[in-house]
Amino acid sequence: MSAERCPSELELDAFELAGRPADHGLQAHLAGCGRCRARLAERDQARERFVREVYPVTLAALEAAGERARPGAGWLAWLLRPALLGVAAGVLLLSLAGLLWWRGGEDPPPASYVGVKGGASLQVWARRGERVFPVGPGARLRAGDLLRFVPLLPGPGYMMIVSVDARGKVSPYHPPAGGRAAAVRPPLGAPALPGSIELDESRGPERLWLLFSTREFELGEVEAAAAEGLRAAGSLEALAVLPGELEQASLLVWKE
Amino acid sequence: MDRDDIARLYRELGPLVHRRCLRLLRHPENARDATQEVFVRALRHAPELMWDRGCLPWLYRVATNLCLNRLRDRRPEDSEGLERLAAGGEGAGGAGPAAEDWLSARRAVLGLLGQLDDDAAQIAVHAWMDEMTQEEIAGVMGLSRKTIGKKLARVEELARRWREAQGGGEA
Repeated sequence: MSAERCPSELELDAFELAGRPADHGLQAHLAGCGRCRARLAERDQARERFVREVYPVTLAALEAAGERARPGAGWLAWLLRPALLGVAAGVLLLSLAGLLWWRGGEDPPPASYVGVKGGASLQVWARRGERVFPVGPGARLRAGDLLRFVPLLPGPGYMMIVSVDARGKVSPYHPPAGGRAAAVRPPLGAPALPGSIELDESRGPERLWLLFSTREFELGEVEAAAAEGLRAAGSLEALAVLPGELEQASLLVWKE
Repeated sequence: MDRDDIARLYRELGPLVHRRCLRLLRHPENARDATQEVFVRALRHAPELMWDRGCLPWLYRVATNLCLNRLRDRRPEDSEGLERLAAGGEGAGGAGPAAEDWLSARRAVLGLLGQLDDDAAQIAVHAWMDEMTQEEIAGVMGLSRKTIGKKLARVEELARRWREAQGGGEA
């Protein structure tokens, strides 16, 4: 976003979803733009109005719709719909928020489960055959699963997504060629990155890392940080933060 | 997904969708119904779209399409919906001839919504109500930026002619 142009509704909504982080790229504009501060205030009022007037009278119908969407909830629905649709829809809706994670019978972890310092976050999606599901901490993934990434970034800068295995091997996912971090512009409503990554046959724990900086950086810097971090932490499970100054978020998954 | 999950999700994203529906429909009860419908559709159809697009663009597209269709249905309770939308007070801010001209152009574009095809109407809303860039619109709609630019130019040309015919705005 240029200094002259006010952010679009989409940008402001993405800013909202990120929790209006204090170091977001929009903050400089907001500080000097009374109109946009008024737009945010109007959003606060709209949220209050929704909670007061809409949420209480519409939630029951939505819950009922969710119940109907679950497989097995009704024999007709079961007959008329693909078996996995309800499961996928249910799981999907959790991650529509970009902030929630659910697995049946377990308490959801904190909303910002893969948050970058500054409030941005990374959603990870997996496709296994016809099933699409969000990937949360400790997810069990298989060879052939396709992964897709939806980053919410705090502003313009440089971004890289990598995986690190238990031996410290770093594999670049985005940009796929590795090398230098990809230049990114302010968020455009959290679209998914193009393309997907197919998991290979290797097994064991892996950490998916979103790395972000306002300066350029290269894969070599990430590899050095991973090696240093693994030596210090002793295991990939214990290595939640790479040493260095890159803003980051990580997600431990298991390939089986 | 259990009831708690749905409730949490709805609290998080519902305000964004409801605000959008209210801005488009300008009718509290219709906006409430539309918000509920957007989420019901999400429950039924969202997995593939989410995989391809991400949550916010998907919600924008579904909510916008739903509201525009309801406005154009011209049901009795919506009979003045398009006029209310076009006359909406949100502006680019500031004062003076430039701001007035922007508001006049906006009213003209949004006043044409009932005459536009689905894509053109959605593009007009995104450009003139949401103030989205052509790149953002392309991302939400899954069309190329070039296509967005062409369709938007046609809409704006229609609006310019309409303003000329009304004797307002610049030629």
